[in-house]
Amino acid sequence: MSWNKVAVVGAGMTEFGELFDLSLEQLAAEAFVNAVGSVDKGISPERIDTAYFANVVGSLQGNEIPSGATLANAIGMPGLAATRLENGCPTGSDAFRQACLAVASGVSDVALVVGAEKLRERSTKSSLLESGRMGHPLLSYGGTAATLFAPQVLRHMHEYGTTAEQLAMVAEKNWSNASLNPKAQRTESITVDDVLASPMVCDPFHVLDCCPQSDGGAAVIVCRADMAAEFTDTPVYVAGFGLATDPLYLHEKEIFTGWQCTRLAGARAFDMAGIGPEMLDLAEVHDCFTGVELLNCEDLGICAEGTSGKAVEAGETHIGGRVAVNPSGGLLAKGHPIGATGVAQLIELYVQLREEAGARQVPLRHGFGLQHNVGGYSVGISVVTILARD
Amino acid sequence: MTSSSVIAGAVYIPACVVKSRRGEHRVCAADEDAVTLAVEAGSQALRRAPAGRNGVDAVIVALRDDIGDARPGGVDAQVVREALGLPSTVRVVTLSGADSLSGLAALQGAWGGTTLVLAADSGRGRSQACGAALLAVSDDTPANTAVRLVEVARASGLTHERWNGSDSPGHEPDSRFLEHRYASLACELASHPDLAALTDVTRIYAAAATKTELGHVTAALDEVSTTALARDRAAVDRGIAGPLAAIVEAALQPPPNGSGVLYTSGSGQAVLLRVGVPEGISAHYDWFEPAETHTPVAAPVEGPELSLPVESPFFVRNWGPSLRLEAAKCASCGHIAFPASQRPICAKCHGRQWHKHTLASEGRVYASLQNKFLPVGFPRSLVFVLGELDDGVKYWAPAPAETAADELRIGDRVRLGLRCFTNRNGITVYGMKFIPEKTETAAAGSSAMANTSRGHRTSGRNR
Repeated sequence: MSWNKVAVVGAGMTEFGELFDLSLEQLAAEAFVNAVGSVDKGISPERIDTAYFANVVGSLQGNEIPSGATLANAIGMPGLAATRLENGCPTGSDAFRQACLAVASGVSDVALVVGAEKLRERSTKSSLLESGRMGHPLLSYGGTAATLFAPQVLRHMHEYGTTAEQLAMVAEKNWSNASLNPKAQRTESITVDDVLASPMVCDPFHVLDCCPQSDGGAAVIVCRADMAAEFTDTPVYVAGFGLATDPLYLHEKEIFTGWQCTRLAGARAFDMAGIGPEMLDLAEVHDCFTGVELLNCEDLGICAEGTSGKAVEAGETHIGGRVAVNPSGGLLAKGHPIGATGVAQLIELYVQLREEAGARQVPLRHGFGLQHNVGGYSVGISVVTILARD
Repeated sequence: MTSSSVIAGAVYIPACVVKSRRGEHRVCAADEDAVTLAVEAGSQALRRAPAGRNGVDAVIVALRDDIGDARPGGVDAQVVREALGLPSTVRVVTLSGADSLSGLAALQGAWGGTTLVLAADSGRGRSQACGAALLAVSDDTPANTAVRLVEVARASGLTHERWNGSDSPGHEPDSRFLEHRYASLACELASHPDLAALTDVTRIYAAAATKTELGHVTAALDEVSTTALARDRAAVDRGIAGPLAAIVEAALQPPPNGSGVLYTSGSGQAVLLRVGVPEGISAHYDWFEPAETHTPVAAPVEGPELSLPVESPFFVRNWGPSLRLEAAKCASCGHIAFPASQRPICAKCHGRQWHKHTLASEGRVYASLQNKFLPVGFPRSLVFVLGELDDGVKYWAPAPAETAADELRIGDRVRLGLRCFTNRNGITVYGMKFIPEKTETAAAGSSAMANTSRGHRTSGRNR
């Protein structure tokens, strides 16, 4: 495979949370300004020749269909070649992938990725939960995000003895990590008992097994690696990425203790990067629900099949453990403004691989970090990205 | 003289019970209605029929629900046909304004060939919710293979049923005038000269008849009987499904007790039929009445809005196959896919030639969960099941609202049954739900005597 090497040279985000006073455009602009401002040697916005706007809810709720023009106008650059992308929960990471493809192909020199989302523009029950009214009117009847993921987690618990306590340990870990992240939505500490005592939402997920509904924005700037020195002396490099789709409806899935699309996307990313999962120092993994992090760790090869529950119990996925999983706090605690989520995960890798993460800094042994999203309608798509320090 | 031959039949009684001072009262679950009751009974009858669903030429459907005339009868009858897996060439007749005699009239009016007659009543007043189905064939069927019904006497008069009034729930309807009118009809019928031939009758089945009516008929039979009569007046109070249910009950009696007469009344008519039950036919009949019961949850007046309305082109393309549990099977590699309209190319071999494949309707729980946080308009809580059907295909569907979360465990037996998904603007959307089998197997497939709610033999008039 021949492609031009791609470097990340800037990254910035908004705080994630219930940002009732900010518009979608303000979130996008704030993330953009922070990303531009983060470039060590500075960058003029005019250097950006391509932009991708990651945003989901517009297409889910239909009051407006955002486009690339929404982003270009929000950041004061009408005329910019900007594309809006929506690809389920991996929207942000796929937007990043598209930017990488544009640069790697030689068509673009400097590309911008902005993810922004306003989930809290509506009440919780008429916001993301309304996705339960989307899709096939009978096969998706009464479905919500939880019912899309729960069957696999329940099968994992049934087949491998994974426990509700182990699921809760994921929440405890990620909330603890988020308490060290000033951008995170949830910064308190919780315990396993808190999780298990919280109201049940959907078997096997309690309220505290679930990520919040969030507003937020995140942006990164990528460029040809041979240009990176113009902007910074410590770029982070794109080592590999992969996208894969899944058999769509639940009845069509072929594995039920994970997701085939993540296994495929991960294999493609690792193959592109020329490394295996043992080379990872950290992973930002899609943890919309606690159990989903566990299954993803296995799909990505971070843990052997059936062992992820024991791994979190043993602290292997904590900061300082074998592989730190979701040191940012993850979707569970940092927040999950969908279009911004993947971009924010990449920002965490960028910060960690530059060893700028402060109190939540992960010890770097090999200099590789992985970012992953899985989801979309009926959990049909997964994106994995691997960034490298060198 | 009108006669009919019946080669198979079934009764379905829902599993929900409410208690009153008169005892237990079977009612529909929140997502059951006359359509689903008819399908449940019809599928059991077809399962018991010697040739299954093959050879069914016509379906006659009589439905009665509380929503009354608002039923879009034509569509509902087509829903019944699709859910029973009957081909589009089958003639479908809907009896609008169905009453107690509708099922019987349909049976007697069934034209040549094989006709599936369905009568279902979601229950009101004192009548029990019930679906009943009979498979009627032409009269040249060998006598030892069919229940033979021969009309003996009929009396008719003009009486408007609405005198009964629609009283408040819990109030007894003002039915004395109607009871008087029907008693008069029964009296007239009892004096019919053809009753003189009924010298051998030892059993009276009654549907939708009062004690007074039965008293007149019994007295008349007492006079003509040549033997000591030990009549067991098996009263079946099943609304408009009653007469057909009574015939199923007769067919399920151990020989030679099944034969007798059936008395029923409605629409200003009283009818007496001789019921001949040959030996060895009970395997073709089923009284399906769950022993384990539920308390019904309240059915919402208006259900949740779906992503697309039932009138939409999407439903037109997909509804029939989903009701028939119809999938597509790749002609090249055998891969099974559904919904077929969304899978035009095989995911396994890229083939584009498909055959129709009917999914198994039974299987086991592969995973189940209770969702307690649903979008606006849905119930507060619903159980969902990922089932592994007996043909190895997986299927995802909700369970009825009465299903408790701990009622379904991985490995438990379930079946797919037709239930209401929502009701919007008077139109009901039907689909398949996973129903726990453990509540049903205890009573299915055995004799009516063992399983009917014998405590309900009082013959209150409820039309």
